[in-house]
Amino acid sequence: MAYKYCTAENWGKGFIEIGESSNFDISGLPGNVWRIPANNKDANLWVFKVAGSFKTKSEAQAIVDAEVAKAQAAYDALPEDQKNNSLNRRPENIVLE
Amino acid sequence: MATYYGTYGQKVQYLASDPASPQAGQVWFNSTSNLLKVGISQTGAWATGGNLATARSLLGGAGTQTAGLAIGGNPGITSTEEYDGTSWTAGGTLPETRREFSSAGTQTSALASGGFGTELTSVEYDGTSWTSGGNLNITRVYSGGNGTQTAALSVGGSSPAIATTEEYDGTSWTAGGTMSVAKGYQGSAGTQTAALSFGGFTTFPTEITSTEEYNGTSWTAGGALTTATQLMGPAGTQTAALSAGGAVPPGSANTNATFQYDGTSWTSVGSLTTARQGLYGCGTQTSALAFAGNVPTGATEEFTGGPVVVTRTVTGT
Repeated sequence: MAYKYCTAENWGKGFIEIGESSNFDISGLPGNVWRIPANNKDANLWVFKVAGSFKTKSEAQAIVDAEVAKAQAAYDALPEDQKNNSLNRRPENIVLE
Repeated sequence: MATYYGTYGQKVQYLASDPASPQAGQVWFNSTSNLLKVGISQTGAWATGGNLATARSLLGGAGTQTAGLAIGGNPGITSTEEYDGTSWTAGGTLPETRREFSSAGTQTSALASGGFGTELTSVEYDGTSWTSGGNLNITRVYSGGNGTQTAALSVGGSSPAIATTEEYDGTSWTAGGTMSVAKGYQGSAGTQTAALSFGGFTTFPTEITSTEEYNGTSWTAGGALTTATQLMGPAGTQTAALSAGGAVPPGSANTNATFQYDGTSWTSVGSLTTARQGLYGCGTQTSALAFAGNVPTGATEEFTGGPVVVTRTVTGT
């Protein structure tokens, strides 16, 4: 399936409604990046509703990378006894489809 | 050529806007968007809820979809937050940081026990403040929690995982029945005398599919998860449970998959919008709340169980 990306701040209740998540696949990614199906009118209407800003795949990837890098830095700053003793693990890089 | 009228004996409705509450099987033509639409029935779906003020993972929780409680979590969090069905507000502060522990109860009568660095202790919440509870008999991290503040169950935990359980009466912990499979980071649902334990790990960090049911005395095997999962958001009861998200093979990757249990087997329902692990869940199988999780996040999602009727646009070539 072909996807497109946008950024939009998740304000909480009402940001994604049942009629929307049921109608098309919305996937949340770090940095308020959202992946939706390409060529889907309902998905485009949702981006309009949430005042989203469309991003190219490379732009979206850069935003996700920056957010993951911040999380990795926060993990790296933890004391050693907080690392690797549970699934509190170093966040892994995410490659967009 | 066959016509809709000829087949169904009625004409397609011609509407300027979609009906507010479409019925399953209802077909209409939206004259504003020039699209043919149909109402279909689905087995539940997620919608966003209010975001937690503090992003967190590996936390505890209690309550319902409209009266939820988020407790502590990673990294080093002492705060709790209370959900009213729309937004989270600050609750009482834990006496110490607590993560990877078991929890039980309601928004105004909760219990948190065990955890990383707090392996033996329990604390109780009255809707305002946390006070010390009875100590566990065995150190427990990554354990599952069921029941209420005065009739709770702490299930398994630790690494390597253990199979023993303990029961709480509001004052002290005593030994409960021992599971067939040792597990930690599992999902838990139900009560002290009708509990469900599903997924988790036996040998860290490899996910398992085991499901076990407790009757207050002994554990018996239930229907296995269709996908080995740990660190999911659990909700519901022993015979009507929900498992949202979690970590799955390979590499304990985040998943957004959601499954429901009917007392016999697990089936797939609508997926979380944001794939995550280390989240928490509360509520019922048909009215659940899933919140927090890694990276960490404060995202909250609300599940409405099926059947729900949604609108689909009819397309074709």
